[in-house]
Amino acid sequence: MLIGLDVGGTYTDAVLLDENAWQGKDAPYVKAVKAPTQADSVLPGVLRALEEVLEGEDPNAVKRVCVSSTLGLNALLTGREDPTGVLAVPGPGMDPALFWGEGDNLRILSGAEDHRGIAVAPLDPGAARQALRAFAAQGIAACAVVGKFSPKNPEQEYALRDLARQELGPDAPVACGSDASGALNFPRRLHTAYCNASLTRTAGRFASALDEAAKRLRLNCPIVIMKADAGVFSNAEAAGEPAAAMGSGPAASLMGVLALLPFPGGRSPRDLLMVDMGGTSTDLALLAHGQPLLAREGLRVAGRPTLIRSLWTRSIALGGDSVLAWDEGKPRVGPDRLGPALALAPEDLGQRPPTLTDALVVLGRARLGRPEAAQAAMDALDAEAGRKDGARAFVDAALDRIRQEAESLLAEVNTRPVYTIRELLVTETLAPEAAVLIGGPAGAMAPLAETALGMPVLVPPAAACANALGAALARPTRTADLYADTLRGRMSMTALGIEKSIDHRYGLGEAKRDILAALAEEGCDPAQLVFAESFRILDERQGRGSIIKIRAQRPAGLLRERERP
Amino acid sequence: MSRDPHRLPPAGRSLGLVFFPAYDWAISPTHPEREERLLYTQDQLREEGLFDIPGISEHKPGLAESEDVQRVHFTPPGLERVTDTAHYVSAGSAITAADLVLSGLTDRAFALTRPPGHHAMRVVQGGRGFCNVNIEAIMIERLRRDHGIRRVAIVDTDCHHGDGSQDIYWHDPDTLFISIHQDGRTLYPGSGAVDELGGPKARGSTVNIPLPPDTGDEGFLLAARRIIRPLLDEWKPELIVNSAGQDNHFTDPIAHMRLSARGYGRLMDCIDPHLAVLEGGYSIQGALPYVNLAIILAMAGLDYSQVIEPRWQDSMSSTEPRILDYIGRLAEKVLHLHRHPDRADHGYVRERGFWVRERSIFYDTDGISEKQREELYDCPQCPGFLVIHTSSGKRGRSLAVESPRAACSACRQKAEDIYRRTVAEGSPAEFGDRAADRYERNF
Ligand SMILES: [Zn+2]
Ligand SMILES: [Zn+2]
Repeated sequence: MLIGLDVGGTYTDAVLLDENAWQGKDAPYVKAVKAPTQADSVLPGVLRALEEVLEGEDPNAVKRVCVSSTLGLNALLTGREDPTGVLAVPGPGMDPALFWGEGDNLRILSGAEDHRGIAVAPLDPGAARQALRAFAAQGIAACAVVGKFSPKNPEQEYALRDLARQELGPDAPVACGSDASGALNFPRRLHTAYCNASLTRTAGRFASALDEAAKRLRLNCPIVIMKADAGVFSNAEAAGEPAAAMGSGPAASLMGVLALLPFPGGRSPRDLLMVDMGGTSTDLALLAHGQPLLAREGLRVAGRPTLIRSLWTRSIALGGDSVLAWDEGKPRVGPDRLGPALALAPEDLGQRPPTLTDALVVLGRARLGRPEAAQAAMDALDAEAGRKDGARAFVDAALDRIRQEAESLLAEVNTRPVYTIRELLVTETLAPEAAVLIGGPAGAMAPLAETALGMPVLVPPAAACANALGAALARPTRTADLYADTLRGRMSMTALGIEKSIDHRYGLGEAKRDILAALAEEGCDPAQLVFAESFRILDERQGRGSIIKIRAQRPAGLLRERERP
Repeated sequence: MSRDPHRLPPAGRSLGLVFFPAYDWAISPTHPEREERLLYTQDQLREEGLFDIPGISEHKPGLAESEDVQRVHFTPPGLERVTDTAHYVSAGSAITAADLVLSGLTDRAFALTRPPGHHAMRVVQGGRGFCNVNIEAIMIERLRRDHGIRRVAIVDTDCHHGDGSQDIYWHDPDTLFISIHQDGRTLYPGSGAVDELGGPKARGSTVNIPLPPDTGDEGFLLAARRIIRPLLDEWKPELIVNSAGQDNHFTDPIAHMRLSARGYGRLMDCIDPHLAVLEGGYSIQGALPYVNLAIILAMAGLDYSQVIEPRWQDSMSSTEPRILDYIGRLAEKVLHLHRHPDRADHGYVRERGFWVRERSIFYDTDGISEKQREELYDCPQCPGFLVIHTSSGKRGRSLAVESPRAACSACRQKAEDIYRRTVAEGSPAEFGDRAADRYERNF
């Protein structure tokens, strides 16, 4: 048995499924439960859903529990992350004041590494200590240390990390920019390290609480956490790199869609648009050639651009609980939300505007509890605007918004830059064959969505809990970047903590073997190369050599037989 | 609940970048124009997080078409023998950048692309100064066709004289070509003296500012403020294009100037071009990453004061007082000649209603020598059509006839007649009727 949990804005979903017998079924799970999500804390909903789904089951039969949570995301969105100091070594280039919000504890230090990772100015340890002591004096215990071009040479960052541990204590959360990602983007590296440092303690507490709950529930299996890149990592890893778990919601949903393919009737589109409509928001994501399409840069969270690998996604503040209103004669859906829908409320809630779910009830698309309550609220709204057909106008407005965002997402994907003549001539355009609607209101929206989106719309069985299914079935993922410069004689894979000397004969073939072996060491086998490039270089003083850049990943996918824990 | 979001500040002006490093193209493995040239620039721009700045966007290049090349060049060896895909992408990048600005999608655009183009002249027998086709000219002529603009100014800030662009616009009174470069007496290609002012029917539309070696930031700014900015203000172009060569940098291995990255930024502030197109610059580690960054930030209206080269010292980009004095005098001379172009000899002689000159052109990249006889019809109604007799040791003789955009109907007819007659004689010839955007050849 596998358990998947997904924390949504309104509900926390959980499913229990039989890992050997879920495919091709109308109800691919043994049990699905829902627990309300608390506004201020993720944990109670997770624990309640976990308890409910386990009720009457043999805990020893459970082979894995996967949690997709909004823990880190919520902490950042509500400003409840730990106070965190940032030490930055920007060297030549853009003034960091340009991209770092005021009021955050950023200290700029001298020192510099250039675009090849060559140290061109020394670090000033005295100034670093002084900055760290100032943090400590302000009660700041967490720290991020980030240097420009650190993935090419993490030396200055490592030196700062050691200083930070000396000054702030061995248990202080210290995040190194190059640990989280080997990709280039200094401002994003700063924000990523900031997220990791500031969420370390929150994530650590959550991890312990999960472990305790598992013990209490007599679970004897690994607990893993869903990541934004549609893979999972262990509860312990999540505590060390909490930023990677932010924004996992759409990822869990897309993996659910992947798990549910082929749909009844044998339809199994390889390029598809996922529309996941929940109570609070609607997420769009893409499957390209049967694989989740990842964003070029990384997740943007609470206004911070990061290097966190994540799906290429759009989130719209529009869902079943979105409040309906007339705005200068135009129908407006959201962004305010008010749950539950009137039709779903157990009793009369008094004067209140209807929600999108109520509109679907009025249209006869959804059959829920108290349609008369939905009708009354809709009538009141119509009267206010002097119309009769409000419900349809609101649903159309919602669909139109989704269509616009989907078009803009696809335009973004299809105009991504390329850098070689070959790529320019062969890059293809992504055109989804179908849209897959999942989430609570999916079934009700689908018949209308087909016209609005201009493509076939499919609603898989179990559309309402695809997110939890996805979490249950997602496999581990990992991404690593290798950077080698034979004239410098260095190779680094900072995200895997590897750095070594190389000689002038080090070539692309050897580099490929190194990165795949390193990933295999981490349990990611087989991994695939995302890109592998070698550039001949010619240095006036040092002569000829090469620069090698490789990214390899264990991509997202479903657990396969031998990987099932 | 949501706090001060950590978005990068919006660019003062929106800027579109078309970045095309052509990692699979080189003239030869050790040639300065090789794959590696924009490698460090790309890493620098990525690492700076430039593309996350609201207002700065990156765009995929389009491909130029053979017609775009024919609009600008005559290619006696055959189009396909002097161009390859890289040239079409490079020109296509410039066109994509220009479309961003002309369609109003962005305020400014920069095509960071290779191979470069400003040494490519109207007739292309082969490669000159690493250039085969003139990407700025291809872009400008495409813009004139698609967006109906007329008055364009090119400011060529490459360290080498932009002799190709000068040649293409030599007879065009609608294009102001200004080149600021290291004095031709001390650097390839040797041309670009102050008295090169344009053809007999476009006098004053070409402006050359030859600076002495060792000119630094203040020297360049002095020339830009005293000459370039006033000329642009006075001439009122609809569009300003910068040929952004980066070999004036104090670390450039080929040239001998002392401009810094921040100096480039200040130069951009002064010229304020709508479009920039990357030209030369071969200090690929010490200069390009920083110069490109400074140019981009300047074009986007953002602060570039921290773009300081590693180990930079004030003395590396300073200008000696005697050079500043020289530039002051040079400015007066340049402006005087621009206003009184008749004070200099244009070098053409009159023969039966035509202005005629003969010259030799050397294609250093391909080792080809060309002999040219240029005949410009001296029409009282229009800029006149152009007949070029060209021959090279490798390719033999051929004729090129161009009737310009602003040609009168009589000139269009006469030009076509000359082309038809040559074809009837069985000699190789090319013909461009710019008003009709029609191009023909008989080989
Ligand atoms: Zn040059
Ligand atoms: Zn005429």
